Amino acid sequence: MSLGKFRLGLWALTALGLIYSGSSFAQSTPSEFAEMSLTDLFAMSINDVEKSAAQHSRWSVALQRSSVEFKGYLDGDDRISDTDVLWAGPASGQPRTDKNFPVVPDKIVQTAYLLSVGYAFNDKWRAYVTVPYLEQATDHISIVPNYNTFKLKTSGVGDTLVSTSYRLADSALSDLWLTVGLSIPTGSIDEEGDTPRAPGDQQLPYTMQLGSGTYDVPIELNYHAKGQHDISLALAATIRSGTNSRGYRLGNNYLLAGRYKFNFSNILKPYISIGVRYSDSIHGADTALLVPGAYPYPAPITNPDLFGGTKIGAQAGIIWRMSDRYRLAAEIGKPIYQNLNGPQTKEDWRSSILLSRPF
Amino acid sequence: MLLILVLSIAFSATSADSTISKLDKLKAAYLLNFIPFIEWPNTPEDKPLTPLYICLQDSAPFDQFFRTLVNIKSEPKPKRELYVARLSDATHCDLTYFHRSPSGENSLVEGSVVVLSSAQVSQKDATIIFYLDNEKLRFEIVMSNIKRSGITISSELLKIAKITQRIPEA
Repeated sequence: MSLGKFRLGLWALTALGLIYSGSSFAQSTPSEFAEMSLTDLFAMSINDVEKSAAQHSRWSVALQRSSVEFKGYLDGDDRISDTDVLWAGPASGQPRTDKNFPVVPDKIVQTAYLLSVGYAFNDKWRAYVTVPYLEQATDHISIVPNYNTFKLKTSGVGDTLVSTSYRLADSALSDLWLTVGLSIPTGSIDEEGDTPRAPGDQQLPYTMQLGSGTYDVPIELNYHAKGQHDISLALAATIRSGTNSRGYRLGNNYLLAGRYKFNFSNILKPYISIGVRYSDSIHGADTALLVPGAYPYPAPITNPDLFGGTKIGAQAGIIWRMSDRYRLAAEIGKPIYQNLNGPQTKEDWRSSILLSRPF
Repeated sequence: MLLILVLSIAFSATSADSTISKLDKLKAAYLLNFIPFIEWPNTPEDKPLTPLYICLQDSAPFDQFFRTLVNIKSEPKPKRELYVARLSDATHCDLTYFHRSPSGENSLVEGSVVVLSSAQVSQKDATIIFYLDNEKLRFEIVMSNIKRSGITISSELLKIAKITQRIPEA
C-alpha cells in the first residue's frame, strides 16, 4: 500500500500504455486485416494506411490520471479490522504490541496526473520523459485527544522518469520491447503536516511523501502477440539505489502482467488484464517518525517493515480510437489476492484514464 | 530465472526482424478476400472440400503474413481448405501471387488464377493485377485470361474491378 508501490504501478502502466497505444489501432495486426471484408479494403485509402505506419509522428504525448484507494487492513492475507489495529490506550487494559498503534490510517487515496512525452528516433528506439503530479489524502483515527479523526493531505510534483525503449524483435506476429529508465528524485521527501506526535507540523510518514529520494532504475520487457489473439505480456521491475537524505530506501518492486485485447471493433477495444506484483519493505528508517519508548512506531505507516508484500490484481478497460491520432483509454482494477507485510492497509480499487496521441 | 523464461518464450514466438509494408498487408488481405468470389473449373461439385492451393513466390514477410491471415480468417470461412505453398516447391496452384516477374515457373500456373502485385510485374497469364488509383488500392481483371483459364469470377467482384480485355502494357 506504500506510495512506492503505487509509483511502480504508474510507471509500469505509463510505459505499457505508451507502447500499447502506439500499436493499438494502426490496423497493422494480422487479425485486423483478416477480419476486413472486400468492402472494407475497397474503402481504405492507402495514404491513410501508410501514414499510420511509416509517416507517423516522431512525437507522442500522453496524459494519464490514475487513482488508487486503500481501505481496511491485512496481516499476511488475513483480514483484520481497523479497531483491531487501533490500540485502545493504557486505561483500557489492552496490551500494546507491535501489531497495534495509537494512530491508524483508515483510508488512503492517492491520485497521480502524469504527463508523458515520447520521441521516436527510428522504428527501434524511443525515449520518454514522464512527470507526475501527485495528490494524496489520508483519513486517520486515533486515541490522541483532539485527534480522534483527522485528515492529512500532500500534493506536488513526484519523481521524474526518463526512459528509453528498444525494439528487440518484430515480425508480423509479434514484437518485443525492452525499456530501461532512470527515476530522478524530483519529488519531495520532506513533506510535513499536523500529526498527533506533537503540536505544529512534523515530518509525515512514508506514504505521504511525494518522492523516493533515491535514483531508481525501472526496467521493463514487453512482448506483444499480434496474431489472432492480441496478447501482451510485461515483466517490469523498479530497482532502488542507495539511501535517501532521510536515511531510508523504498523497496524494490517487481511486476508480471498480461493483457488480452478483444478484437470486436476497430474503434473500441475492450481488454482484460491480470498482474502479479511483489514489493520489498522499506530499508532503513526515517527517525523523525519515531517516538520514544518500547514501541517507537505511533502508526503502522511509520514502521518500515510494514510495507511491501504480494498482490494479484485484475483490471478491465476499454480503448477508444477517437480519431486517427487520439486515443482515450479507461481502466478499473481490483485486487483479487493480497498478502501484505502487516498489519497494512489493503488496496481496495484503482482506476485510470489515459488520453494519448501515440507515435 | 523468470526473466530468462519470459525472454525465451518471447524470442521463440518472435521471428527474425522481418517487416511487411502496409501496402503488402492490404494486398494479402485482398488476396484472401478474392477466394470466395472465384470458382475454379476443376472444383468437383460433389467434393467441395477439395483443398485450394495458393502459391506464393519466395518472399518471407509476405508469405508469413499471408499464412497468418489464412490461419485466423474466421468470417466468412472459405468453403475449401486452403494450403499455402512456395511456388518453387509447389506441384499444383489454384491461385498464384507474383510480386516480381517469374522465371521458369509458368508451367505451374496453368488453370491458376494469377494475381500480380502491380503492372510492373510481367506474367502472360495474369488474371488480376493490383494498381493504385487516387491513393487507393484497386485491381483490374483481365477478361481474356479469365476466359482462357476457364475460371468464373462472380459479378460482385467484377463490379468493383477495372475490366480489361488484355494485359495492359507495363
